[in-house]
Amino acid sequence: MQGTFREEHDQVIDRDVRVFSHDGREFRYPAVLGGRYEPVGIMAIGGFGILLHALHRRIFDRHVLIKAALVGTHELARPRNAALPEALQEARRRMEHERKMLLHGRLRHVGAIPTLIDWFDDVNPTVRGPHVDPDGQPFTNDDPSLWRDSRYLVLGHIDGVQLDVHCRSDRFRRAWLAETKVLGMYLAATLQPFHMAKAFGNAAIHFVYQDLKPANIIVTRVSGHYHLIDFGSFAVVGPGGPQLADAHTEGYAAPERGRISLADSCHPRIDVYSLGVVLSQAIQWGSGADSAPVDAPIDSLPVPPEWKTFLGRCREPAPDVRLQSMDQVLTCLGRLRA
Amino acid sequence: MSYATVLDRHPDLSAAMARRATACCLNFGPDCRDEWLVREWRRQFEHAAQSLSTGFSGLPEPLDFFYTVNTAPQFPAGVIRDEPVIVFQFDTGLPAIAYGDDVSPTFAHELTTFILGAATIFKSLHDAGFVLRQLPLNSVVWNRAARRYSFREGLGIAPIGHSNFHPRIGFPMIMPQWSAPECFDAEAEITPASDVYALGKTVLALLGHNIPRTAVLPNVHDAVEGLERRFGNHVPDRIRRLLLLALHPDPHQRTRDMDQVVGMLFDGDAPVTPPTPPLFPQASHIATKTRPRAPQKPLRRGPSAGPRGAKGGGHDRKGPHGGA
Repeated sequence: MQGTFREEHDQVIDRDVRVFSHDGREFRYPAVLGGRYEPVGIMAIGGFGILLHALHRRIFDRHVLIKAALVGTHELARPRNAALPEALQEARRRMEHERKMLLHGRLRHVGAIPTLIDWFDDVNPTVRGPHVDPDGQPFTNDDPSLWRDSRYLVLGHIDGVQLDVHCRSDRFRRAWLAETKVLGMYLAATLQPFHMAKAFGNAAIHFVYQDLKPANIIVTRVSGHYHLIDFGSFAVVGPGGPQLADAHTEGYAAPERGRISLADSCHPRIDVYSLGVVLSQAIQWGSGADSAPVDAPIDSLPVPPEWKTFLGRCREPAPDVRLQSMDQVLTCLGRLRA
Repeated sequence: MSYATVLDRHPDLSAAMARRATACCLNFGPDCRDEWLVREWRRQFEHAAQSLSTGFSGLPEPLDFFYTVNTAPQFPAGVIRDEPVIVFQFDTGLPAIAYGDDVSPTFAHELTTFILGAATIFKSLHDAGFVLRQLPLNSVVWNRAARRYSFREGLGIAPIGHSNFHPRIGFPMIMPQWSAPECFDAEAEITPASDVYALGKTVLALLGHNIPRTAVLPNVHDAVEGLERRFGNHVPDRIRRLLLLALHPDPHQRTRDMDQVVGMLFDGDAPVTPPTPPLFPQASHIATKTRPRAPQKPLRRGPSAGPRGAKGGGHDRKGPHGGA
């Protein structure tokens, strides 16, 4: 949890509002969200969402995480910005998509993913403001349709660190090769059910994660268990072709993502490539390196030859030569000595 | 306790997306006529639910907690309302099933993984100041994707170091079959060693031993020795030794905590630390309804017991050479 907050009463919304400061920005949320959640701090801020640490007032003040949509600073920098309604609509669509993906994860019996406890709509005072325009003049977005019904997701609390921090810890470095194997098995076994085409409604659909990277993997402090987060990154692949196939991060994305269209390249093997990069980085951090470039040559990694062969097959630039599925990854990983 | 699988009827959820959850509430049986008892059990249930809501890795995640009306016809009018119900996330995974006689070549590895996984969950609980007190075999599930064990129920949770007479700690949440004997002793203290005993029972059950419905497990030596006859060398010596030490009925003579369990798992010859002296008076910081135990009368046997046949002598007063 980072930052502190101050509480004030918003006359227009007619609610008590908590103001959180994070990296020079101010974020405002109701003191009681959805009638039962009390935000107490900011856990993390990503590209499209903000994770709030909150207390569940109905269940003994237990700790939960609340994910709220994040709108860019440039959309909120000017009064009556025509781009703001569209940005808010897009943010809401992403939240809805993430909610559905978390539910699909449960339907497909995937374990060790964040628990979706609840979801609700409530006001978003961050959108209302006050904000300051480039001329230094304060303003607020007074149109209630902009801030009235914002979507919030309530997730189970995960007390952990990002993968890169964990890989530099003594806990990981004590048996880094075995830990890397556990990490690979976890990621492959978690993504494999999503990659399987399954009937849903009138069609068979499957999902591709697209954005596998250390920042999207959390390791719990006490038990050391891995958790994949940011389920908004999934693309939905159905009979009509892929949808939402636009999420990727340079360095972790498969090379074909730049050569052919994002929709055409949306195949489970792009997750295999990202998995290979993440495991290569974990090996570098675990073996004592301070920095772990994503494009480090496989021959330079301090691992046995069979590991190099495995990583080479994951990171193969030609998509048809690469390991094609997480089933193949699991089979290969199971044979490796650690 | 009663458990039921329920469906989430959230208005945003279509029928295809409806998710399952597990609801849990008290099961009173014939005791529901006693209004005081009903209130007391409910309060203990609430405390257990509150402790579980702290959030522990490997234990079920509470999704909701609410009060409802109990429609049992024999309930006294004063306690019909306010029946607490807790709803957990439905834990996916394969339930742990007792091994048959035929075991795979990886049997010892699987057994070690099971004990290690359970010990890890227990350890995180102990570090937070709680014990679970019981681990029924059918509540343990193996999650393939996460490659880890988790427990489907956790309402036996209780704070460490309290006497069983503490009003927050209840008996209804645990079953003697899966718990340590001290969990049913009003003067005893609940410690991490109680979970060691519970884990030992579960491992024995996993190995096919028929666990009786009593807190004290009789004939532990026979049960552990029986493993050798049944599984041969597949159950490693270190695990058999661990079971013998974990299932000692006296908590002060038992393997003390999960660190020792894990230590013995990987190094069977590691010395077990000497038993800690008993903490007495038990849980003195809280008020109890018990009196100090009366000193026991020494047995009059051996050289100091006086001549046989004297008044107050042992049961063998009329030995082969004594008496008429």
